Amino acid sequence: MNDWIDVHALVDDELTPEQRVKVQEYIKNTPQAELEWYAVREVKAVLVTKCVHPECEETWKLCTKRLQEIDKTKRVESFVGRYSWAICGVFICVIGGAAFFNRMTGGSLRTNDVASASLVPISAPRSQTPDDVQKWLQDNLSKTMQVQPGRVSVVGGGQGQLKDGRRIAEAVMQDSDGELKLFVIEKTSAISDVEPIEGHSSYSGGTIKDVNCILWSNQGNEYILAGDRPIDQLCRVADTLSTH
Amino acid sequence: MLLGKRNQRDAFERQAEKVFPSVFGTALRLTRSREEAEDLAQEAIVRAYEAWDRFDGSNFKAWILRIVTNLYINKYRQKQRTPQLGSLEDENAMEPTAVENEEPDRKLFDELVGSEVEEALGKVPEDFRLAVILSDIEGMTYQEIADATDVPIGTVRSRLARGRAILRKQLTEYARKEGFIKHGE
Repeated sequence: MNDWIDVHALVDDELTPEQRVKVQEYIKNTPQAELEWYAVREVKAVLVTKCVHPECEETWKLCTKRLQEIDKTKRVESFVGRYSWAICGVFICVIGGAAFFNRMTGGSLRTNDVASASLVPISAPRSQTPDDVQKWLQDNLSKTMQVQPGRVSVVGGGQGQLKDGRRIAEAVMQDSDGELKLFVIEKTSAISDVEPIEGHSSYSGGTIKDVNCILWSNQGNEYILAGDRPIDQLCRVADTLSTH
Repeated sequence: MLLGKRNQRDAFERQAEKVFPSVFGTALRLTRSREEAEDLAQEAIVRAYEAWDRFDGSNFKAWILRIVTNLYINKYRQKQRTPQLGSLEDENAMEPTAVENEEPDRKLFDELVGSEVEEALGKVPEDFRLAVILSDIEGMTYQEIADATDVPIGTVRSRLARGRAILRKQLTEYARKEGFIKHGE
């Protein structure tokens, strides 16, 4: 028996029935052990009666707040973890969709884009005979192109690409009223800054760098005729250029 | 699933609210600083909530006080402020709680107020104090204290006996100082 410690264990009700009998016997026969038994009980009683639980309502409220925050964080983490593939998928679709939309609409052509296309110069026809002019136009601009003999002469040209990658060809022409430029762009597309022309339903009108121009399309190509003259006159010249 | 989580938290909160005064009281008696006790109690509640699914369902109070104790030992112990009235080296140097030849059952400490008892308890070295708090204030068994403090039951028993002896000396001094008992009594 471990004297004092067993007296404490007796007070704490931590002994087996047999041990309890032994310790009780020991206390009965040992005055100092009895004193110890009283003393331990006294200390225990003081602690139980005098040490009350401190006020802690506010701290408990803070705890519940933290638990709520933990739950919120866990919910978000769980959602992101579970649907991360879907979230990534949505982002990829949005990016892809935006790219597609941009390709379809964002690259719409404006008349000034035509003027700023970088063109490699090509030599003028060998002579201004109607045959040579027509052949030159058909070789360099459009195979279906016809021109009324003697109305225009071709003094030069160029070929290149627009910003959207389509091919463009240019013929610098001359008639009795001055210089004209005819552009042929492969594949028709919407040109955003042109308007219909009254009385000339097959043409649209606009400007290229402050110079009047008219547009029409034919057989999948876009034609632009620009010249420093009224729109009406440009339409009349265009009428002489059969693009069929 | 969200509802399940909510129910789980409600169940935890119901249990934790009941034992929170013990959690906070133990934290306060260990740290002896209200601010640190608030931190310790909050952290213990958070840890317990995170480990709630591992709780075996037997004794919630013992389980959560074990968390408080472990947290205190691991995080707050360095800031120990307790004047050392005895050390672990002489943990096994047993001395009786009672003074030789004193009158039994004198009700010496009845006149002391709670703050004086708390102050006396605060002066008990912390390993002994921890055993006394868990046993006499929180009513934990020796086995539960042994689990909470990660020491053998034999050590719990000796710490408890030593802690009570030191506490009784402190209380006697207070009672004497306050004139509740006279010198030589």
